[in-house]
Amino acid sequence: MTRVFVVDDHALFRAGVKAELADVVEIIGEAGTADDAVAGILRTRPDVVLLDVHLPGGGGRAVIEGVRAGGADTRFLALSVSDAAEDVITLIRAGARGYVTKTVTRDELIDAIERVRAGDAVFSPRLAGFVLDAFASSAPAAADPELDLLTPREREVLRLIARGYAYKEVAARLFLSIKTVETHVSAVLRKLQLSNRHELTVWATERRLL
Amino acid sequence: MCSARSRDTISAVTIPTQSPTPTTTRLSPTAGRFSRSDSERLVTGVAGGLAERWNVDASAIRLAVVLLSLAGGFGVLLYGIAWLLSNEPVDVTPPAPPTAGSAAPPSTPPRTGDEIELRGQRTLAVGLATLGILVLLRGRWFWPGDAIMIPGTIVVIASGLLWYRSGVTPAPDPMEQVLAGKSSPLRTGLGAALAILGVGVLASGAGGVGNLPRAASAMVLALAGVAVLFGPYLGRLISQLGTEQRRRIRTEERAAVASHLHDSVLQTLALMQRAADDPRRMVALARRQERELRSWLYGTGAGPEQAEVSFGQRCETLASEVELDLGVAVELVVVGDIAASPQTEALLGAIREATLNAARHAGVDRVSVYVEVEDAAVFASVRDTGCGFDPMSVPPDRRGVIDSIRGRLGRVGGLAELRTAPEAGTEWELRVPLERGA
Repeated sequence: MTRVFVVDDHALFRAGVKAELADVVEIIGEAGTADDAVAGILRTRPDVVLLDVHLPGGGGRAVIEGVRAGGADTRFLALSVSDAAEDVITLIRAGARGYVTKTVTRDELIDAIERVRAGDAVFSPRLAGFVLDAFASSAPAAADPELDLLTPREREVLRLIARGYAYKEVAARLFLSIKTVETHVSAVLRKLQLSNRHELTVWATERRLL
Repeated sequence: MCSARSRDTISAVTIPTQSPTPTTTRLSPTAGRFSRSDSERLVTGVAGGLAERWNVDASAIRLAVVLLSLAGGFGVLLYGIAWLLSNEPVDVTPPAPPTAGSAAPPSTPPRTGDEIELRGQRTLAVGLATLGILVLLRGRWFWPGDAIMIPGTIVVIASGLLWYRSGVTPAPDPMEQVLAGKSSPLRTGLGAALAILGVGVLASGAGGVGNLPRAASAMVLALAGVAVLFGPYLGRLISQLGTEQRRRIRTEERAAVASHLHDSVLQTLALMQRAADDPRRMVALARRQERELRSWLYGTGAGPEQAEVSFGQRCETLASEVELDLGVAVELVVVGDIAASPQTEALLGAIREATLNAARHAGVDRVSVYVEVEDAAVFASVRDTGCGFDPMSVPPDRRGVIDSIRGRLGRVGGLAELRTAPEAGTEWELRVPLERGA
């Protein structure tokens, strides 16, 4: 069973996740603050961490950075009620491999956990929408156009995800294999994390301020 | 001291013809001499002391001194003599009366109409006496000329009228307090001096040839004097206005937040209490409120009070309406945004029909709505993973919906494409062209 660590400052929510997932994954630990989370994750070495965006003591980003500094290669799935683009993009850029909202269904959450454990990226429709929005302007800004632009195919895949397609539905619609779809999504995630495209930050900030 | 002074006032009022013996016996060694006032002091307290002694308005005496000083310094001479004749101020400082603008005759404000009238008459007498002296002095060798004295007299009389009000008004308005406040004798003196100097220069300039620079500098001086005199009053007025405005804005903000919370959160909470036995509806209410509150807090949407609502915000509203009405989750993703136009309104109508249709007939609890603003068009997809249907054999009630969606878009040059099959879900792809730059 996948070993999962839950980080959320709401005890009620942790309890809810544990109850929902108990028979599918192994919950090996939980924490309510960033410091506890870093210590607990480094001790238990889970496969996947369900990570809340907002946490006392630095937020989800501090947890990812702390665990990375501790030398662990844990995979993170961001989970939040916040739909603020700035928060989501920040966590993805810090290293989370996916983002789902807390209103996600149980099956979707289980699917997302497995996907992250396998090293794939998990894009909820909303995250796909954010990325399309952020990469919308066609002008390449920085020196590395490969990182600063999405390929037409990646764009197509993201659009379908934003439209609510599951990966296998995307594959069927575009006549691709699921593996290829996963590759495209992972490429987008990498660009999201590595691109120096300054619009990304500006966009996320503006989106919050608008 | 207080009681002594009030008795003095009363005795002076009731027996005006007698010398105010209680005061003189108690406070001055020599009858006929007077004490300079400590509480009513602008320069040395001579005017205040005299005013107290004669039961007149101190500012009348001050103005008389100023006016007479204009007449070749006669007033300064009188002031000096009065100062020599006067006694030291009494040590005991009476507690300053709360409304003590010094121009007011204030320590013992006249209480009855009679007293006020009497005091006014006496003050008027001082003024008339001063004018009489001026007439006597007129034409002497030190007389500076009517050109100075007449405007000067007018200025002084005007000031006197302005200041005198304070003796009658129970609560002097801020103007008197600031204008004549003993806290700033320097300002009062300086202002008066500048104003009079300005008038004087103007008058002498006018007497010569119409010398413009001189006249201008006179104007500047006069204005500077006025500014020094009235500046603090205006300043306070403006700052009061500012404070008032800030307070009003704050109140309005608070009222806006309160009314928003009332219209949204409180209403929803009330609805949820009623819907306690209907979990689906409760979830829908909670979800709608969550969406609405989040968009309000994070500013991704606008409040309902905002008239200019973008297409993206209209979509948000639409999604939450459907969620509330039908208890089906609407997963909305908007990429880009644009101002509302006839095209986007038509598209919105089509999205609404497609979404409602899916929510009613698909048999699923979630509908995905995706909207993207492209370069020359707006694209939307409305999708569910429900039962789907065979478009060739649609029951009439759904036929109407399909035609209506196509019709709406067709009227603005758009296209609607339907992808569905039994057990394969339903998806509408909608697109309307945009008139950019319009």
